[in-house]
Amino acid sequence: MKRVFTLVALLAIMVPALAHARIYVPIDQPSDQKFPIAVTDLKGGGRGRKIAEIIRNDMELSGYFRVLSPDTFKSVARKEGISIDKIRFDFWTAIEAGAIVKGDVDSSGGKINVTLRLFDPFLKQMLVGKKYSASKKDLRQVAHRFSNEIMLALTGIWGVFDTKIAYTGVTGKKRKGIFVMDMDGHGAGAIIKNKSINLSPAWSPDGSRIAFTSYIKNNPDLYIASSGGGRMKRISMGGGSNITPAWAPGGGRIAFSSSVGGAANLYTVSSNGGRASRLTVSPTIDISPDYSPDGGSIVFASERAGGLHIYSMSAGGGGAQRLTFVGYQNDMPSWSPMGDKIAFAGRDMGAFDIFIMNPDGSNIQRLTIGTGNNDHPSFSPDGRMISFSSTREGGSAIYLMRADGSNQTRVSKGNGLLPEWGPQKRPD
Amino acid sequence: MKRSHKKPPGLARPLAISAAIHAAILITFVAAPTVLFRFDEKATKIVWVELPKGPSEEIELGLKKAEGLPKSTIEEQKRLEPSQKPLPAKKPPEAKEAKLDIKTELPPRPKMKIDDKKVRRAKPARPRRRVDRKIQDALAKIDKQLKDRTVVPEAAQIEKEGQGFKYGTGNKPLRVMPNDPEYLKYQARLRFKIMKQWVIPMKFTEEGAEHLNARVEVLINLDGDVVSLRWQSQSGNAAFDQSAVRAIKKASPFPKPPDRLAWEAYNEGFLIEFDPRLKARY
Repeated sequence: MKRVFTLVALLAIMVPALAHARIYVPIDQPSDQKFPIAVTDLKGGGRGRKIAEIIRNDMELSGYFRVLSPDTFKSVARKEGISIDKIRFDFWTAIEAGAIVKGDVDSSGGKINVTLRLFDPFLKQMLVGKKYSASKKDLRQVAHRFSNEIMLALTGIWGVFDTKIAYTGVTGKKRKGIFVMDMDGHGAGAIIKNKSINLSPAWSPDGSRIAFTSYIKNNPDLYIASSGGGRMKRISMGGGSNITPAWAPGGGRIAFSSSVGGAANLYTVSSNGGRASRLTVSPTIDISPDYSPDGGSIVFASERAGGLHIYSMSAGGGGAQRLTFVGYQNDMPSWSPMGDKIAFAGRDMGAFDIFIMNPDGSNIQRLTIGTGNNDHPSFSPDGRMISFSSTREGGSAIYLMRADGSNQTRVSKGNGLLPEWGPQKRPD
Repeated sequence: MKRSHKKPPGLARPLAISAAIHAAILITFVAAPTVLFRFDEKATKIVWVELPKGPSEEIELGLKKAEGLPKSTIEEQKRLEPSQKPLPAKKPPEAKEAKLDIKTELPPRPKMKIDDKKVRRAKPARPRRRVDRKIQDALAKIDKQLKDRTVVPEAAQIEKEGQGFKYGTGNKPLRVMPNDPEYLKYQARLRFKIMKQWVIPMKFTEEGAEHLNARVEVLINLDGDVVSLRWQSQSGNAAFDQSAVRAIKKASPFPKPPDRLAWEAYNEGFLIEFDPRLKARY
């Protein structure tokens, strides 16, 4: 009896583990919910509040962050310090802040000294700590610089908050000028302003010069000026309409469209001026060239197949390949500095909207809809954002959005069109 | 009387027979599980079959190929939950082209339902002239047609059917267990729920980022509440691992599993794998 019992007991223990059939769930993408960040006013009076405001706005513009309203933490932040031992991290994790920005600023003479720190409240660690010393007038640049640091720490790539955007603005009746503003819309000013129409700016790769079209001699010609404004130098000779300039990545040549030979075709000219060389020979219109980031290809709009479509060809001309086969008026292509996407404006349902596609024309996706005309996309230097003009609020103004179409935000305080995002100088 | 030593009549034999039968059954279980169970031995490791490419509405993933320029934006497509299946083959209503010269300045248009908090809006000016009112009416009509349309996830000039995913850029379909639409639907719902709660800094998902992978075994109770979490493997990065745990906890309670999966859901539980590279790996 005992033996049988033992035998049964032993066998019972040997029941095999049944095959695991857990339900498998792959999570390969994080939420589109933006990462929550809390930016506290820096200690140090009005300047501290100003710096925090600029950083908060930068975080909003990036489209990656949900900036927590300062009301949720103002009183706590005021009583706390700005170093790890003086911060009550439990409070911050309770309000679900994924990151906290704190700091202080003091001034002496014409200079300011700013300390800025980024903390992770869940790990209770400081991620970035910086000290800046600058003149008072560079306060905005200091704030933007730290915003770039935040982007690097949390998104892996340095930010673009210290860059500028050039664009065309109305300066009077039948007058347009070239303007430059900070990418957050601040500090807009005309760099080229005269009694005529000046439009379509393009930055040199080092940001020191701008090419544009001007009617000042009663004919649309190409000019170059310093990006700070000043003297304009004509570089297209020989008549015809010379429009839509684009600077080659090397800085030595400029591609543009000219009707000097009859129909508008593409040419390049040295940035010092001189004889233009022809890139396309076609009885129909070729316009709006833009270089690939490696300078080896040019994307442009052409009517050669009937309707306006996007093409790409080698930068020396030749080998033109059609990229878009849908739509009927696709124009103003812009090649991402990352090389992986081309944005363009396409006419659809009565208005222009912005689309994005791979450089071989595949996978065309839409970024804007139902908001007036949206055109002239221009990528940021990190390829993550696109500036464009939109008539959604009446007249044309400059907007920013993330390269997937999210977070569309107006940045130009007044009117503006044909925006062109300037290059970035990385700090040494 | 020595009755206590005597075994009750006939009990020893049935007991021995019962033990033998039990032993036989147990040995059968050990030796030939494939004969008796629905899930074969291979289910101990997870075996994946690549889904054929094609319009994959059944698994709520995949983009349709648009006839012309795509009619819906990436943002609109992202807002569709897996349960919101787009109605099949419904062409968007023909938007009557307003006879306008687009180059003239248009008066401001009524606001779209898109959640665009950041757009600061100027108050629309009252149309003074009859022409302005006609333009306003035409625009309002187009806007209404746009609002009433069904958002279909689509992109134009897709190289092969099924390229591109709801979130825009993937090139390969996700590997899931084959030909079980109910399982796939449930998996998609749960996946979506957890994904919505997984908040991590972008640096973990950028190109060239360190490859991190975390696996969690999860058990739920009959209400769907998460009652136990156990690491199968961690990524080694504290922030990444913590974010995974937070996401699972926030996604609790899990949606009710279909009856056919109920036993597995409540008894075996779930294996949830967090890995931004999953698509590329398979």
